[in-house]
Amino acid sequence: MSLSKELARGTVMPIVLSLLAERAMYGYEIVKTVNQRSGGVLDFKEGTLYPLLHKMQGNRLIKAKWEDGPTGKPRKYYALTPKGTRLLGESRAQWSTLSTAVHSLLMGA
Amino acid sequence: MSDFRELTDRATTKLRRDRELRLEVTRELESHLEASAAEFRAADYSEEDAQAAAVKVFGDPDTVANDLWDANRFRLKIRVWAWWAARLTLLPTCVIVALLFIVSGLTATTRLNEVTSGVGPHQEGLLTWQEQRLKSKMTAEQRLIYFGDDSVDDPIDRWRAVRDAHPAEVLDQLELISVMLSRLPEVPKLDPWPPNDPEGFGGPYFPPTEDDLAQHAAAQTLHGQAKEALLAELERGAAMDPGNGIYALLTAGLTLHGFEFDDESPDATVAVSVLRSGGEPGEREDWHLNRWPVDIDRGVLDEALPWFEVAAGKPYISMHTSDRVRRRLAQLPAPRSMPEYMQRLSTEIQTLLPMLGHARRVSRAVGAEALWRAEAGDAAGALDILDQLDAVTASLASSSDVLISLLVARSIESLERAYRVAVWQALGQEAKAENALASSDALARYWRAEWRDRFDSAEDKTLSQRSGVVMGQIVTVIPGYDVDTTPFRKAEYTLVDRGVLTAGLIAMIVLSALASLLGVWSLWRKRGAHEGAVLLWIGWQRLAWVIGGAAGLPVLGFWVWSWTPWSGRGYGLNYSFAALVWYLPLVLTVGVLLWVLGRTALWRRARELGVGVPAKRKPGTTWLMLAGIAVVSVTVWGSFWWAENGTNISSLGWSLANLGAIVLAVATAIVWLADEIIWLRGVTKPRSALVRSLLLGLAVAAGVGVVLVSIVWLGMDRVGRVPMSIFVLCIAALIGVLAALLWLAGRPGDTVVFGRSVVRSMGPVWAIAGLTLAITVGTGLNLRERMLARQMVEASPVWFDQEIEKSRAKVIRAYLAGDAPRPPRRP
Repeated sequence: MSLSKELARGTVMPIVLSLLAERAMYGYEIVKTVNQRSGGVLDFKEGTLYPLLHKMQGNRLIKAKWEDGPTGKPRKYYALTPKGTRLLGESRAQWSTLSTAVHSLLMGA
Repeated sequence: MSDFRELTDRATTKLRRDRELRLEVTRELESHLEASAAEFRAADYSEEDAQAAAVKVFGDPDTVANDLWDANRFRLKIRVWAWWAARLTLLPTCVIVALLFIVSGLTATTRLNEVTSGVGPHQEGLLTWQEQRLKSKMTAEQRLIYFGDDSVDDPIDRWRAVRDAHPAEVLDQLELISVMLSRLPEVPKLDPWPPNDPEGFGGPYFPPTEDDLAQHAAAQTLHGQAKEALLAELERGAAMDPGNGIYALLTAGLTLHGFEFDDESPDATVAVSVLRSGGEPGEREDWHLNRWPVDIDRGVLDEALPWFEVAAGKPYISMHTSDRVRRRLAQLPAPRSMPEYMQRLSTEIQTLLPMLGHARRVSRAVGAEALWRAEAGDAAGALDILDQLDAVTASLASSSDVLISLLVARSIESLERAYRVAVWQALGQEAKAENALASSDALARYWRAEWRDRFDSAEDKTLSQRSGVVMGQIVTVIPGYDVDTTPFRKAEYTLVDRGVLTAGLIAMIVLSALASLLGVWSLWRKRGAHEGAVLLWIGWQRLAWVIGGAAGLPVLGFWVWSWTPWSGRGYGLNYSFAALVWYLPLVLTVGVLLWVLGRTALWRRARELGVGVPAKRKPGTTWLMLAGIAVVSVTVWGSFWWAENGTNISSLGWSLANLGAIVLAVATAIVWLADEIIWLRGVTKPRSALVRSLLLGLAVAAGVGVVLVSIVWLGMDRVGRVPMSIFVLCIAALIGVLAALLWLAGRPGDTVVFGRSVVRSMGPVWAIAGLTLAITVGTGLNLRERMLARQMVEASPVWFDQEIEKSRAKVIRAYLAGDAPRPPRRP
């Protein structure tokens, strides 16, 4: 089952923040990790990740650093900033509230 | 070219305004696509299918292009703005900072000249600028007391305004008198000798013309008017300060000043005598009396003598020099730099106006009167007036607060002793004359011995060697001067430090501008092609690493080194020139490291962006270069050290050692520079290119050398040929080296774009490094200067106060003031 674009759009940024909270990652690694962990549900076009990463970098939520990868070629790694960490905390709290409310409304629990 | 270049070109097309940013995003997307394709290949996709699949899952490049533009739009604007701002402001800021350093350095040098040459205040240029800054920090009253009324040009009116503002202040009255004394117009001589004396009119071969006579009369009138005004101020001073005999003494001196000797007057001739010692140190000290006639106007003498007697009857005679300086200096804010401190010293020197001329004139006249009385048979009168001269000496000596005042007293004492001998002779008392001659000898012997032996003691010698340029001049003329000159010595090194920093900043500005121009030229040459230089930004973190490693660490090392005894800074600049040699390794090391670390940072950045870069550089020749710098520095320092401390090695040996070290250094520099160029451009067949460039350099040097040496041998005499030939051969070698390096720089290579990009991007790195170094080290040096200036003021608010108290001059004062029977005998 694929998710509607509108529903997925609002979740990408918190997901990226959440992944980068674990460790610094490069773009392709982020895409692969999202696909693996969501079981292919959040399978978005890979190219759309970079504008998002650049925008988050511009908003100082994440920072970038070039480092040599295992093959010796430089890769651009992204890591969370303190501002990004704060936003991730807020996003988690909002999502928890929202998902509980939506679940109770949709499922009638 | 990457297999995904078409896609990445489309995805980044909207970022083309910023070439570096586009390269970075392109490299990131390519890296992603390469990883994606690799994964498809791992899933048994063919190469072609793997790439197609990677492109497919990547998404629509045009959508990505729009989103990337949207995400980076603000950053792009900021970067474009920042680059233009840097282009427009970086070099001008460097130039402004360098100019400030230069102005500050020149101000310090001018003040130093002013102090060391003892000239009066300069009212122009840099010093005026410095004084304006000082004035802005002072109240109107402070400005008035320190500078006088600067709204008027005439110095006498300037200081009269101060006196008028404080009519009861004795110090202001004395300041006015002091200025008037110093500006008393002289009357040029008629028929001067020697005849070419520019101060005189006419001469034995050129009798005065009518015009000369008119000018002479005008000068006399001017002198008379100034003298009248001064006499009025002296009278006023005497009323304000009734216990002080200085006013009467100066009135006597002025009365005697400027009158015409009347050679024809039969009753005006008296004999004036002085004591003359034997010759130079080592010769036998045989004191004897010289006598020669001097004509003096009896009427003038009769007018002056009562004033002298008034002075002799006063409890003290003083110009209050120290108090006047103290009062003026108290108006200034605490000195914040050496130029400001030296302004204080300069003020002290200006205030030390000697009244030596007036005092000696009075003493001679009094001596003449004593002799005249003795020759007329009035023994009591003659001895009485000499006793009065003795009293004047004692009053002057006991109130002497600065050395020059004591020297005036010493001069009067010397004349008084001579006259006493002459008076006893005139009275026919040869035995008493002999006794007087013997006793008059004591002080002169003491002072001569002190003067002669002032550097014989190890302490005095060490003191002078540790005093620096300014204080070295002062301590060397005062026997036994026991003062702490450490702050002066350190401050002079600080000034040289700042000079070297200024020179370094200027060098970085020139190199930075040169690198930028070369980069722009290369860009223009390759316009439209993909081979143009990329302006790379290494980022703040790497920039800090470059500046810290290339400039910070060497400067820190130099600072630590300067505290060690091997640096030579324990001695002043007046003695230890070897200490200056250590700037050589500092400057060269900073230069080499700035290049090496700068190009390493740029190599990393270029590699991140996917610009073709050479293999990582091995530091072999850089270590060789640094070792060459060390060898040359130690050799040059060694030759200075041996020259100062004596050596058995011949000067030829040291010349050869220096020459060898310089040849080694130049050879190392050539190999290093050539190696750098070969590496930067990725020159194919580097060994062959290196050998060819060296052969080319040698050929050019030989060709140019033959031409230049031929010109020298045809155009110069035998004596000058050899040294000039060596010089022109050095020039030829330099031209050869440049030719070889230029040839190398034009060789084709695999990483030409990288080489050009490094040259283009190095300019901002150097400029920022220079600016950072100038601001941080410059601020440190300014703080150090301020601290040292404060230490100097704390050591003594008025430096010349210490001259008597802290030297063997206090023995002279005790003796002249009558507090000690006679100075101790010196062997």
